[in-house]
Amino acid sequence: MKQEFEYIDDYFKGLLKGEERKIFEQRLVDEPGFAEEVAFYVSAHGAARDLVHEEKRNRFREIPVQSFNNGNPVIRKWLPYVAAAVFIGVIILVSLFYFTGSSPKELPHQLAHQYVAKEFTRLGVPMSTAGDSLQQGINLYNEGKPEQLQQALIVYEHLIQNDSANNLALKYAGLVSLRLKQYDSAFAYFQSLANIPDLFSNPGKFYSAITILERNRPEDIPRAKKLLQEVVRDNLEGRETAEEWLKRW
Amino acid sequence: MALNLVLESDIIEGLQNDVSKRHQYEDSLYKRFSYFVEEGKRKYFLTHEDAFTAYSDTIIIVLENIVNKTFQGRSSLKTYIYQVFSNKCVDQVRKNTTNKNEVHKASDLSKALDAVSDATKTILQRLIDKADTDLLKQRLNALVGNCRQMLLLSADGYSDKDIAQIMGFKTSAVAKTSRLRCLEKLRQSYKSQNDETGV
Repeated sequence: MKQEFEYIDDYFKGLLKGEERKIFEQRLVDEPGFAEEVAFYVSAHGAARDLVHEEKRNRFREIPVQSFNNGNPVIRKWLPYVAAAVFIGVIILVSLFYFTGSSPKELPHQLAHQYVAKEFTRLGVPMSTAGDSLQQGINLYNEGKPEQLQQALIVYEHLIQNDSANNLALKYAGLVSLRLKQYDSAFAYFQSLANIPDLFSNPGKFYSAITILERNRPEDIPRAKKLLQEVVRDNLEGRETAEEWLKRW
Repeated sequence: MALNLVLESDIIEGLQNDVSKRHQYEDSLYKRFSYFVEEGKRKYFLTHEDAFTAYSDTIIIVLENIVNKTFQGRSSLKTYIYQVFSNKCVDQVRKNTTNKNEVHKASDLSKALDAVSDATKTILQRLIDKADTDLLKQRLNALVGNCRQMLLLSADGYSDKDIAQIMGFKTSAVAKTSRLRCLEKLRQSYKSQNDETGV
């Protein structure tokens, strides 16, 4: 014969069927001692559940509550769309690579922008300029702040006023203007530099191209291309870079 | 484990079938919709503590319903949890204007007696009302060996097969016998203490 608790356990776990269940329930009515056993079973189960719930609540209390905006629900909501966008992007890139046989081309103004960021953030000091106004302007340029750049521009403009063919002053005035995003002024200085004949190395035309690529007006792109082609044709300073860009145009 | 990124279906599957990681899946489910706590505070004007209690109780109920497969996935888990949570928030509002314990006691008993037919429910109800629940909990906490854990696992919906796996018994039958022996020990401990206090 089964132990009483096993019998009760089987009832509450649904293991007793049909007639057995009826007998069990009849015993509850007829036998007060049995009813007390069943009541204890239910009470003990309830007390154990209470303890389980208390433990769970204490565990949950340790978990930080997420706010609606920074929690995953928002991320999850957009996740399928983001995944779809990434998937489409990958397909486009793969298609470009497949059909062109190379990585996607960078836009000309992006090339110029990268060049400026890489080459013109700090200027080197020419050997002949130590201690003079050119050096003072370069120091101000390398400080990088707008106020210092403006002061550098004043220094170079003063030099240009005294000598309009001062190629270094024109070059640095153009670079300062470029950093200040005064593209028209920068282009004018570099064009003046480009027009100085007989210099051993003249970057004027190359820098002019860079300047108008940075300015990025609709008419600037073909004009910059033409300037770069001239740099290559005349073997001017910046020829290698100009060739590289023209290949990727 | 980055369970926050786990699918709802994986959480349900894990809760129902992965005994060894059930706690992790429980915590993940709790965390997933824990922003409801703020909703409870905003919409039902609950204190943070009351909103937390409402949400914790919601998750506890939902976990039970997932484990015993009462939740059948007719709505999304979020919708289901939100419905239960709304009811729990209303309970909290009522609790603040009525007797705190009665609200909970009624729901706990109705759950425990679900399996019993209406004819015998009244008899049991009367007997259960006489039980000293605090003393029972105290005696449960005082059980030695694995008895407390075994009875709590059973109350948490773990089957004898699960208990055998967790506690290293050879078979579910051995786990069941051990569990029922523990229940007998609890009864003796409760009865002797009850007799001493003259209740």
